[in-house]
Formats: sequence, structure tokens, C-alpha cells
Amino acid sequence: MDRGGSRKKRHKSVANVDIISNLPDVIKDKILCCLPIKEAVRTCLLSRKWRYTWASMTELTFREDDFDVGIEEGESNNFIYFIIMVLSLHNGPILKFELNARRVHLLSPGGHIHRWMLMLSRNGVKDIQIRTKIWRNYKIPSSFFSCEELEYACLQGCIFQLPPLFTGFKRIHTLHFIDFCAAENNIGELVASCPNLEKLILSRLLSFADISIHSTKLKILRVDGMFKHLSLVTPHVSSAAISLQVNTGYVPRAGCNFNLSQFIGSLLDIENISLLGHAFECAAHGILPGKLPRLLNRLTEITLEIDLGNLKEANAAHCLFQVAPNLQRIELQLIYRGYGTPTSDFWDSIDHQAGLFNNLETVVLNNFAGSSAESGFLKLLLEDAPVLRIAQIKDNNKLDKESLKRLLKMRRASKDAEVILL
Amino acid sequence: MSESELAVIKPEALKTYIWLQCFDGSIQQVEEEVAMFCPMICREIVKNGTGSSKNHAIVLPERVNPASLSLILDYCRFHQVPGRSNKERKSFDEKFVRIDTEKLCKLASAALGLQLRPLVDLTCGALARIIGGKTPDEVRDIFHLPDDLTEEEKLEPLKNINDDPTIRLLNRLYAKKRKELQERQKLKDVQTQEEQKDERSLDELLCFINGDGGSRGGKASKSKKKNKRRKDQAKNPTKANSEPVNKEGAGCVVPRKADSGNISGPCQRQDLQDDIEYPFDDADLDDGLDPAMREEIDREVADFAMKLNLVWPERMLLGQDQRMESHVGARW
Repeated sequence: MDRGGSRKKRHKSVANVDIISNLPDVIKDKILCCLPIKEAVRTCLLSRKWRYTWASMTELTFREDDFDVGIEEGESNNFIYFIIMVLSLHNGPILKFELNARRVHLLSPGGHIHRWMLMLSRNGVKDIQIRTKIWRNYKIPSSFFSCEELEYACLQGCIFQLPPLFTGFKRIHTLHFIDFCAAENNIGELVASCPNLEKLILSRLLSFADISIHSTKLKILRVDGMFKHLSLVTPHVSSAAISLQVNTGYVPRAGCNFNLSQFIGSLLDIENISLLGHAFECAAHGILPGKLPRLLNRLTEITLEIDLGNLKEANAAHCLFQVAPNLQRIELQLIYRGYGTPTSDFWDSIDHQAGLFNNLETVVLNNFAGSSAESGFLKLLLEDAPVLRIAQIKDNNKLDKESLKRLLKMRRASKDAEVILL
Repeated sequence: MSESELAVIKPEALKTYIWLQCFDGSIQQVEEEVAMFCPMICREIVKNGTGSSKNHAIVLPERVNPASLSLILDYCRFHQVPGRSNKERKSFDEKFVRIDTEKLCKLASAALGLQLRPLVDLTCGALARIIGGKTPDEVRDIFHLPDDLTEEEKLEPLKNINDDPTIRLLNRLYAKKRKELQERQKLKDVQTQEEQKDERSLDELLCFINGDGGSRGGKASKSKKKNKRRKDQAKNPTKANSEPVNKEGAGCVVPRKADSGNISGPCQRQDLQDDIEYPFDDADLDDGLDPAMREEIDREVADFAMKLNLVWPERMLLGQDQRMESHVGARW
């Protein structure tokens, strides 16, 4: 269609009525939010009615991948400059702000993010996601804590410090922090001041203080990183994953402490637990037989990083299995710690008729080395699990043929049990 | 009255029908479970009790025209069946939005009227995919938009809708920079390559977006800002009578009381800077000049500083450090 022809058509009043500009604002907003941000802003060139439509977009998503961002300073400045311009010309509420700038070198961490956060806090933002890998973490601006309408927050690469008069996020349901540092019990205070928090994810956290998290509404909990002392009272959590990393080789020296028995003792509705890293080890000495007050009837999945040959850990694991009658899936990351009290026949000495694994259907053992403790555990499982379907064993080629044969020959209580060796 | 209860009570042969009336007056009947998929209809039935007979048909909002309504009912009829897999639903959705663009727009509007959220998302996503990747002319053709912006307007800035102090500050800085550049031209008779456009926000924005024509304009703005910063730094010694002037190699930030913002440095910045949330960090709104231009400006600024007979305070920005040092080092 040539230009002349289309111009003639436009002068006709009946044909070619504008079909999109008169759509309801909600629809236009949604369309713009589905477009990449550059194209959405470019709609200001379309026609008079679209000149400022982009400026009322409720969701702003800035991804460095959409811009040619390299390592050069100049290129990343384009990206920052663009964000600045969009934010300064924007007019209206911003319900969602997402910034993915993991490679961009934000020259001044404090300046930009502070400005943007200030603007967001004034615009009733509900969803903030800022993912940066600023080479030196930035302190979360205090205006972040004034975002009263906030419902979802995901911040990466920040330093966490609560302002003194923080009244809490009344509406927030998900907090997700990645690669961050926290001082004192700021996390605990934050959680305590968010009455509706349901999901808390702390990835790669670094904290040298005691963290104490109390929340009655929390449903999903993930804590991963280095911390000194963790105390959790979250009775209604249904999915918990805790992974403790330590720098020094010998954990007790590092002095980490995780009050596992208090945690498990307080759980009511838990459905799956995952304790990785040194979490189980640090806490294991806290679980004693008979100390856990109630059965965890809803617990169906357990994932542990455990040294089956360590007496304390084996004991603790046994306690845990005892309070989970409906356990369906066990996944163990087997590891050899090299310290602590070793035991090789703990699992052999357990009463095989105790009905420990009545509902167990799947077992996954990673890093199986074939030690006597581990073999004993496997034997117990196979003999004691009447409905076992799959036992998957990853041995990383450590086992020799003899051991493998012995494994396969073990007696199985369940006829359908399949032993898969990887 | 839940759907499952109804399903139990009424056998297949005695399906209930709901009566719907479009704004233009036409009335039609629809199976109940299909109609109940729309939240708005559902609410009407439950709250107001309408829809059970022809005389008490549910009146649909104006934007729901009969053609869109039949499409929506097809959608509901497919999706309200519980047994379908996600794959089936997805492929149905993909085929469903392959319709004429005008019908798609009307469908989006109608879905909004009936508050059928998944269909609204689906149609808006489809419209976004139509717009995405096309030039403004192409989009105008598809949607029959009038090309009513003058050529000038396309380059003109948008009015500052919000009286944001940042914009005012930026505009003020650009104006200052422009003036200084002009002065410098008079002084030194240096040929600048930048186009003296009026500094406007959307201008740069569009240039940047459009990429091609923008490199020049972008560079212009960037070099101006860079000049501005350098100039400010040069000016700083004059103002800082009471403030200590840093020797080269010092690692502290010089706190500025000028209104033109703050110099900050990410790497050597001390804690005092961290504690102050200074939002006007425009020193970093820079850069990307080609090296030749940069060197020339470096030289000029160092010249200027020499004229004022003061030691040049070290630039704190990453990367600028090395350049400046090598330059100033050569000078002094």
C-alpha cells in the first residue's frame, strides 16, 4: 500500500476507523505491559492519542538483555539513562517495577537505586524486583520501607538494614532476598512486622548474627547461606528448606547453631523438609529420641544432607523418620564428614519390624559410597518399606561389581521395588 | 448454589439455560455451566437472580457485541470442561486468537466487560505480539491510526507532565551545559561536532530507541553532560574556599554544596557517602564519548584549571581516574 493511497483512505470518514485507541484503558495498559519496554515507549510515535499512553503504564520491566549492554561503560550508561528518562516522564501509579541488571555496572549504586526507589515509594508500587550484581552491595534505601502497598519484593545484591521506625509491610506476601548481608536480627524483625507474609526466601545470605524468625502465617520458607544461629518458630509452614554453608572445614569450630528440635517440634502442617549443607549436622545434636512432641502426619518428603555413619546424625535422622508416618519420599545427599562419633551398625540394630517406612514410595541416595552404615540403611529401607516403588542410587562409579551385586540381591519387602543404579 | 450441586440434581436432558441480552436487544440462551464461567454473569445470577427466563434476561454491558459474545461463549464452552490437559488448552488458545485484528480488539473489550480475566490476558498478549517488532508506520496501517503527529512533534519533547525536581534539575543542568559549550566555542574556537539541539528528554529517548539517527544525538547529549560535569569540577575549586582541596591521589570524596549535584565514586567511596542517600547523583549520567573527544575535553578542562591556578581535584569515577591521572600527570 503506497503512501498516497493510504492518505486518501484516511480522509474517508466511514472506512478505517481507528480500532484500538478507543479501547478501555485497562486493555491498552495490558497491551503495553506485554510489550518490551522500548517498544512500549515507542508507541508515543503512533498518533496523538498514543502520545502519553505509555506514560501511564502500570508495569515497568527493564531487562539489560533487551539493551546492548556490554562491559563497556558507555553501553551500560545507555541502559541506565533510559531507565532514568522513563521514570522521570512516567505519570501515574507504578504497580510493578522489575530491573534485571546483573551485568550492568551501575556506577553509583547509591544514587540511582535511591532515586528510583523513592519514586516507586511515591507511586504505590506493589511488586518490586531488582536484581543487580553491583560489585559492592548497596544498602537498601529507606524509601523501600515506605512502600506501603508492597506485596512482592525480590532484591538481589543488597545490604539489609531496617530503618528505626519501621511499621511493617502490611500487605506483603512474598519476600525474596538474594546475595545479601544482614546485620543483627533485621530479618527477624522484618518478618515479625509483616503480618501476612506467606513466603520467605533468603538465598545466599551472609549474616554474623543470630537470626530468629517467628511467623504464624508463613507457609514457605527457604533459608540458604551462612549464619551463626538460626531459630525458627513457624508452626504453619508447609515447606521448609534450610541450607547452611560454612567457610571453615570443621563445623563445630565455626560455632554455627540451628535449633532444629525446637523448629521441628513447633511444626504442625509441614509437608516437606529439606536440610542441606551443614544444617542437619549442626542441629543434629539437638534431636533426641522421644523429644519431638507430636507426629508430623502431613510430612511426605524429606531431603537431607547427612553422614549416615555419624552416630548423632543417624540418631537424629531416625527420630525424624519415626515422627513421619506418612513419609513418601526420602532423598539423601550422602557425605562423609570425617569427624564425630562414627557408627557402622546403627542401622543394622534398628528393629526391622517397627514399621518405620510404611508409606515410603521413593528413595534417592546420592553419592552412595557403599560404606557399612550406608549399606545398612539401604538394607533397612528395602526390607521395611512395603510399598516402595523406586530406589534410585547414584554412586558416581565408586562401587565395584561385587558391592553392586550385593545391593541388587538385598531382600525387598515390596514386590514392585525397583533398584535403579546410576 | 454451586455448579456441582446443579450438575447432580439436573440430569443431562434437563440442562438449564441462562438468558443473555446484548445491548442491542438481541436475546439468546446459553447452557448454564458455560455462562457461569464468566464471573460477571455468575454474579448476576447469584446476586440478582436474573437470567432464568426470557423476560428477566441478564443485560450485558455495552461493549459486549453479539459477535464477540459468541466467541466468548465458544471459549467458555471449551475451557469449562475440567478434563482437558494444559497442552490442549494452550493450543486452543493459540488458534482462538488467530482472528482479524479488529475482531480481536472488540473481543478484548468484551472480555473485560464480562470480567473474564484469562481471556483478557490472552487477547492483550495477542495484540501485543501484533504490535511488537513493527515500525510505527506498519502499526498505524494495521490499526488504522491517523498519522496526526507533525514531523516536528515527533522530535519535540513531551511536556513535563509531572513537576519532578529531577527533570527540572536535569533541564537546568543541560541549559547550563549548553551555555558553557557556547562560551567555550567563543573562547577557543574549537569546532564541536555536536548538533546544538534543544535539550529535550523525549528527543534523546527517541534517538536512543531508534538507534541509527540517535547515535549523533545521543553523543551530543552525552558529551554535553560530560562537559557539564567537567566544568562543574573545574568550577568547584573556585567555590571551595573553605573546603580543603584534595591533592591528587587522595581517596576522599569532595562534598559539594553546589546545587549541581554530587561527585561520587563507587570504588573508593567512603562510608560517609553510603550513609547519605543523596539522590541527585548526576555525575554518573555519563558517558561514551569517543576517546579523541574525551582527550580534547580533558585537555581543555585541565587548561582551565591551570588558569585558575589551583590543583585539580581528582576525579573519583571508575575509569575516569586512570584517564585523568595519565593526562594530568603528563601535564604537571
